[in-house]
Amino acid sequence: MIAPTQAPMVTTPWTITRIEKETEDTFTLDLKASEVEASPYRFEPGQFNMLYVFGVGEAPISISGDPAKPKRLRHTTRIVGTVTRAMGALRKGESIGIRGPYGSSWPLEQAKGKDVIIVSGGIGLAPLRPALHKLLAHRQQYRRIILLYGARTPEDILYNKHLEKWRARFDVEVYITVDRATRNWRGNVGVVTPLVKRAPFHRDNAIAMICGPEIMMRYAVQELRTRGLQAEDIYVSIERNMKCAIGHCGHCQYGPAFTCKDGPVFRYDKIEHLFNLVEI
Amino acid sequence: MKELSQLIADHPLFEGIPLEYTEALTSCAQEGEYGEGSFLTLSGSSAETFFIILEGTVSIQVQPPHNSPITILTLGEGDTLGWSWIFPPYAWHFDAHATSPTKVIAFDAESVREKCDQDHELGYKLMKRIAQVMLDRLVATRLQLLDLYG
Repeated sequence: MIAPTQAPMVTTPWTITRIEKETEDTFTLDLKASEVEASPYRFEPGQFNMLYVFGVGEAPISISGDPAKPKRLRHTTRIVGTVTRAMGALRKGESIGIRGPYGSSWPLEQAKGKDVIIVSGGIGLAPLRPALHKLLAHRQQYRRIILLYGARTPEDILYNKHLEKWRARFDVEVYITVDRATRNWRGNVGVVTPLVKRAPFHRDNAIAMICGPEIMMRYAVQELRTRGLQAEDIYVSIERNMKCAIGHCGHCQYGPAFTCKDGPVFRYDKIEHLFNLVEI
Repeated sequence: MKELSQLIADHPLFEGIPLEYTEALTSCAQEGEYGEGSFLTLSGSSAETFFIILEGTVSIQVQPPHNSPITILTLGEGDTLGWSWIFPPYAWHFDAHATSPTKVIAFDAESVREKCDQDHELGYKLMKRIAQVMLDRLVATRLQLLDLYG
């Protein structure tokens, strides 16, 4: 796990270099460090930063960029509250505070030599995009790479350009589905979880990484287990109300764990007893 | 290339079914092909067949009044298509539209119903499996209605 390069509660200003509107309510910020001393910044796929909109507040946001290019930090955010709304109103050249990276990461070391199944829904693709960048940068170290992605409608699909590039490769299998098709949509329709049935992986030598709404993750786990994948070969990213990001404040407590410090990526067998509990 | 009997015996829908029953079902089945753009089922028409998709993609569509069809689900390799053949009046509720060249195993519904009536053990085993498909489809539809990613 990569830890913050400076005092964990200290925010560093980064400059917005680009803003990309992904969907109606989702955008990606590209950031570069405003100060030279912030340049040693590194992160692992699956980790998050606390983003501070000056004078408004802080929000935990997954890192969605390429870990090989940590100086161009990327965050994809959906507008859901006061901070993210203010974040969405920022303009190129303005500053935003960053502290991090925090949390656990996707098990890319453990995945070496195995089939990798990525199941994501909605904005859940954002914390998995760095994992895909890294998997593809070291493609020969992995067996099959399978991406299953579900979105509400074709207009809600994130990272269209990347998805098209990945689809064009012969060494990645990309299955995309939408809940509601529009007239021009020629792809899959239906929830993402049944696609697990079609994914061509070897159950004895595979690892799955899942991120999306919890109910989607529950059914994805169920489908993967039905296909014979062991609980210890499944990883999920849990979202909770993270505040301090260093396991002190307790806002993100998840049973005996803190999502910010012990998560957000958990091995499924470690949290299986909590996974179906309501409002934990 | 696998023989039809082997394709049926190996399909997850028939997992755990004794050989005598898969043989009985094979006697009611044949392989078929549908060109891109053709229809496997048409809403309101007689449900004389049910399908296992071997290759290709099939869209389940509904036709709203005065509008073009809406796809509510896509099925692909390995999926089972059709249960209207089980219940009178044996008429399809939706259109099934091949959106790519599609290969199927097509079961003659009347023959399968007859075999199930003659041997309730076969009928029970088959209905339990079809019920599982229906349950999976119902759960998926409910999830689809939840607007999960909203």
